[in-house]
Amino acid sequence: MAPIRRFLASTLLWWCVPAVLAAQETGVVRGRVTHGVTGEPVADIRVIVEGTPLAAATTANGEYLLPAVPTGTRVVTARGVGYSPARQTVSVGAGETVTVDFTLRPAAISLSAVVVTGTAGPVETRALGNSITSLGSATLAASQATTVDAAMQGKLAGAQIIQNSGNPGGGGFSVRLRGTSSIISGSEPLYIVDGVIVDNSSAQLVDLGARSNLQNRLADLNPGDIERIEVIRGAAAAALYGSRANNGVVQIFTKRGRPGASRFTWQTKYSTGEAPRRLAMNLYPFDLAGNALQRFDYQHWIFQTGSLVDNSGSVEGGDDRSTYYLGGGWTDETGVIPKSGSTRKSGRLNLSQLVVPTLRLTFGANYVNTHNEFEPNGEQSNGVITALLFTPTNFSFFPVNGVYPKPATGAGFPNPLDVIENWTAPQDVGRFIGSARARWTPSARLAFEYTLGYDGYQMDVRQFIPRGSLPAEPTGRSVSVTRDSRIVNSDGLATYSVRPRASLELTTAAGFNYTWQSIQTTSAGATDLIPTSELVSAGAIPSAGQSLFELITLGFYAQQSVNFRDRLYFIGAVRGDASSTFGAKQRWQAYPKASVSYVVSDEPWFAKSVLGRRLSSLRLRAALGYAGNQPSAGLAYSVFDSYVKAVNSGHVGVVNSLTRGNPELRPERQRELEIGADIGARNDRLSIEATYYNKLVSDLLLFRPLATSEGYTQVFENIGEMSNKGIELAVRSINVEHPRLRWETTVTYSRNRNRIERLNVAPFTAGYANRLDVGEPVGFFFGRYYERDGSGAIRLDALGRPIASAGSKKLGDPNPAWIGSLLNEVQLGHNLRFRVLLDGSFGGDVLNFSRRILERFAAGREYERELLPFGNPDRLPTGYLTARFNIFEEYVEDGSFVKLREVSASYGLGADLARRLKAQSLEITLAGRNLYTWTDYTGYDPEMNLFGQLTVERGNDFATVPIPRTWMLGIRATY
Amino acid sequence: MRNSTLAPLVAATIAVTACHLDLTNPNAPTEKEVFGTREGIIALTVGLQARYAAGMMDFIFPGGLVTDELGATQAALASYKDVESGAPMVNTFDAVELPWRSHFRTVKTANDLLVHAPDLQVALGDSTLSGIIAISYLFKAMALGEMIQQYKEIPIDTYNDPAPAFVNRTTALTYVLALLDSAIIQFRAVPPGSEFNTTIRAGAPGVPGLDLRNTIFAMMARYQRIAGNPGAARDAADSVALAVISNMPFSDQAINPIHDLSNRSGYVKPVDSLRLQAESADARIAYLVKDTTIAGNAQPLDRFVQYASNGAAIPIYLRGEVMLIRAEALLDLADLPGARTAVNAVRTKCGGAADQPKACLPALADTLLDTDPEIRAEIYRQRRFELFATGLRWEDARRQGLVGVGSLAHRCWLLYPQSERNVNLNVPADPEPAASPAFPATCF
Repeated sequence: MAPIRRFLASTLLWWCVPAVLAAQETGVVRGRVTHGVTGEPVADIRVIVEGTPLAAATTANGEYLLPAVPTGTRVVTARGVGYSPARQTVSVGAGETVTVDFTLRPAAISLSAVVVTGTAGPVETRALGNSITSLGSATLAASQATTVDAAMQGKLAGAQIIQNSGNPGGGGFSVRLRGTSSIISGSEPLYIVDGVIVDNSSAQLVDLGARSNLQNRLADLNPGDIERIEVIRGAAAAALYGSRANNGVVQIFTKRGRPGASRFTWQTKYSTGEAPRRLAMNLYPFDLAGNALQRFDYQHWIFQTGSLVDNSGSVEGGDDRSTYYLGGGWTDETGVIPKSGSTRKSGRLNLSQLVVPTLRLTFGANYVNTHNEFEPNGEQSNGVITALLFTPTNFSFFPVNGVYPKPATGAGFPNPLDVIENWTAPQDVGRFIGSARARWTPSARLAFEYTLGYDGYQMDVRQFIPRGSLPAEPTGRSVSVTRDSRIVNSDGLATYSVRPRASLELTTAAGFNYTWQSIQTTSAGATDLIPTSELVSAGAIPSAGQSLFELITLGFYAQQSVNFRDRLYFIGAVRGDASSTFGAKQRWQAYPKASVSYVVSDEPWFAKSVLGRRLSSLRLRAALGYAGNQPSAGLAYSVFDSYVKAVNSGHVGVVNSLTRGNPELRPERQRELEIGADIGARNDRLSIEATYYNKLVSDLLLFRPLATSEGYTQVFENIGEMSNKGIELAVRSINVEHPRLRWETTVTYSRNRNRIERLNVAPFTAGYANRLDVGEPVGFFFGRYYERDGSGAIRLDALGRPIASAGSKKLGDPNPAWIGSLLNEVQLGHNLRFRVLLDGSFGGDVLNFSRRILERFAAGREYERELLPFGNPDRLPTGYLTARFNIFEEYVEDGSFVKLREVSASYGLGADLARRLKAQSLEITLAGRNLYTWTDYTGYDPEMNLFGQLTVERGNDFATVPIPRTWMLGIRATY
Repeated sequence: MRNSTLAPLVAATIAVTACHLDLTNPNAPTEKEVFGTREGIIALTVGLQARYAAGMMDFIFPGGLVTDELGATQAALASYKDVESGAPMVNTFDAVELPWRSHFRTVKTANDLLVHAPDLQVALGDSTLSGIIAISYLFKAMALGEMIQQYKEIPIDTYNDPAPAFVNRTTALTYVLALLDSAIIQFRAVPPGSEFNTTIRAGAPGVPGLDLRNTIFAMMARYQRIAGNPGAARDAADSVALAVISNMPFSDQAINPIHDLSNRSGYVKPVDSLRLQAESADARIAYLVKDTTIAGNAQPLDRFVQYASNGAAIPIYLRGEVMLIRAEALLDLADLPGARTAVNAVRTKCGGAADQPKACLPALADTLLDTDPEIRAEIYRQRRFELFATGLRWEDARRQGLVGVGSLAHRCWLLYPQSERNVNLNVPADPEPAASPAFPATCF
């Protein structure tokens, strides 16, 4: 009882303090903040009176006002993103107005960004013990990308962001923050938009490449609406998100509108994209017997130059009480494969209203319609590129009298030109994301916030295969699938902060989070179609299916922050979390975290110390935290022993599912420790952010085989451990800061070591050659290799063909040793900006499955060597490539690459010219994305992955649409 | 004031949402729903029969491929070809894994019913419950009985045991006979009522389905014969009403598994030796198979005639089998004239509506069947043609000692499946190596 009483007493004490402060006499502090180089006013600078909760932000003309500053000698500090903080000591008399102006030096280091992700309530970065990255709208816009994932590529240390294919509408992305943290429960981060948990699944619903990821639903967001993105990477930062946060959290904030006169922005972009490379095909003009024949490179017919038109506009404005943002966007893209395309139309309205001085209501509404037409590809016989890999190049796919010939060889392939011309697969997504938030601040110290979020979409997908087009479906097939996905979240938060002494600030927060998710899929299909009609009703033999999954997650959390002398910060927090997916006894889990941050350079002695003579800023930080992970929605009922339909003539019965229910199921759990430093040098014009992390995921979920004599084959169970250890470096340097020239360089470097520490099942292979085994990284390549003699030379059989090993061994690792990026931005005068981003991945391998098929089935250039005349030194013995087909070692290639990810030049028309066009500003941009790739890899692109977002099956290249090389011309006007 | 609007909202949200974490699975019934309701138990009893029906191929195919009955086509999976050719067996082959998995799933279903159905005695009513109990004993006995004709040792006490112990064939056989005894006792104590017969028992109106009583006695006859108890085998065979047939029916929704793998997938088909080695007048051949010309297979293959449609029923036992068990039992009891008459009855069986093999052959002269070896040889010969593709030929090869490379069956047993070995440390060493043993192999 005693500790509780003490706690209550101290709580009461805090509540009493404001009354003491309120009784003091006050004065006014006001002033103006300007840029140290250009002399221009600076907006959004936070001006605070140290030792008090008083704070104000500068307006567009750089002015601020602090109306009630307690009298006495006060230290006033101005801090803002992109500037070194400045501090002045003033004497405030009762009823006096003191003017304090600041001139801020631009800085590469910034500890002043106010962030909210992973913490209960807004907090300055300097107080956090974990690293957090905030990307602003300028950075996102400069990328010229049409999806959020693409816009983040190359900008974040500790993030491996891979475009899995070059399909229109984004192409499908995988985001790995600090490595892979799960085996089958997904490794994509949790995405939150304005407090709404949003769905980022990548289901295609019809067979367009069984396990590929043609588009993930984050592609529904218009990057133009985004104000900033905050990224936290692991459990140490994300503990407050409980059992959904193992893979980190990406929180997206949309534009809320700024007070002031209404501002109109209009932007138009046009871009073209083309496949960057062609595969080398067999164009040898003779067959094996030496007879002349015609060969075709069908890449000329199945690829085209794609194009994209993007129009977006917005209007924003408001006053002290109300702000609004109204945005709309329309993107129309055609892919590099004919008849593939993607359209996105979106509209957003954000409103913010101060109802009474203490209550602000905020609403956000976003409606999106995404429409795609995709061509099948990847690991299935319907694929357009797939058919090319399997078909000898002398086969003519061109229609004869309207009939498309089908290749005689292969596993029942359709004619790819027929597929492009006559098959259809429209996808239509109608999505609404809405949020309502109330923030009530009865006093400067106390705040309540409640958020209600909704993300709902209906995805309608059809696939039509005409009669006589696919050998396996001679009578044609029509499939129609509807997926209805809804997420509702309801979050509450209360924060109370107090300064019992000038040197001590205490903030207590408590909150809850409730999430309900439901995914319903209904499908109808039919075969034996009547001609000319595409819908299911055209079929004589119908089929149908339905599934419904519901998930609920509930969490309560509390956090205590201690700010000692505005330079030493401690945060301790715990979340109690439960999910309906887990067993009732295992459901409630606690996820604690603790962090410390010490801004050493704010110590008075620092400037005179040895370090202080070299460094302008130094912050040390450390954080330890726990978070969890839930399996995918399709496994939401794994705690139950379930029974499946078993039909007997005349009767319908049930029989046990082969997967046994596991009432002891619990979340995957991650423990993460991160230690880091933020260093500023050369007057903060050089900054280094360095972080070491060590993550251990235990209770990994996987299917464990059961003795089949029990009547089951497997159970879904917590069975393993995996670690990720790594370092992240982000270096920024303002090389030149001059009114006429500004040059800034940003470098990121990330290194991660993944290792399976424990696995209570036998090692196994997933995908084609990705393997799981203890002591190895997740998904390492494993397969048969060349038999070699003592000197290491490849052993050949009597006919001169290579010999495949009987057993298998490790052949490579799809996980890169390190990834990095180099960004240079140059501003010339007021009008001209240049930007070049190089993005690279080093030491990761790729399984070139496409080449394996090309060689074996005679379509690739390598096969020409088997056709050469006898005696030619380049000739390969007949059957050489067929023998090599079994040797996976041959096809695991170094997938290291450097990409010219972004390059752009922008020219802002002079103010006079713009004014003549009645615009406030007008800017023209010429930009390119993925223009060039430096790599030794022999396929289309080492960056793609056949298996989309899957976690273990990484680095597989097989008949995937190549990522286009894009040129873009855009114009942006503000009124 | 304002406090009073927001705080209740927040509090209400917590209150409404907090107690909602126990969801049910709308996609499939859970164990609780199946075991705890009348409808669940009835559906599970239907599922028991459907499960066994789908697994009938797992008894018929491996035995057929190991013996001279069935062969794999060129298009078949490598594992089927290897089982046919006698290449070293791999313990992850479907032919090794599926019989184990399939039969033990049937056993689990039967066990679930035996444990949970009696809890619903009031809801089900005595006559329905009795049918459920009897059919559960029967199907558990059939599943385990088929297992001992494929694997040398098996676990019999598997219910909720993650690593059950294995028992030898004698113990397993005793257990199977005890299960059949229990089925008979249950059936006699409370005859299953009309609900059981019309809505639970396999078979639709107009389609002969499972006949519970006669199937129990036929199985009793089959396993008493395997156990070497001729008297009991004869008594059981005599209790079977030969005019009644007992079939497992199939339909477009539940496709005949033999038709599926043989005709639809085109993987496993009858070897033509059955047709070529039969007496020319044997009417069973045209009923069973048809000549076909498929090139490129390891052996020349025919086509199934008996199982040529989705809905073709599979007999659970053949009345010819019961007649031949009786003949063999009489022979073992030294009643040569009785045995002779009984085996000739199989040869001369002809006409009648029953959709089952009928040889329509003349009886053999007494002089050709006047010694034990002569009668026994004729019984085996009739078993080959009468019981084609029922899975029973492998056991006949074993008991005749015709096992080994080049003989009637090229190996004695299947390997124990890897899936069981991975988890269950009680799995004994494989009874014979992966490679087929030399002739003559010692099976028991």
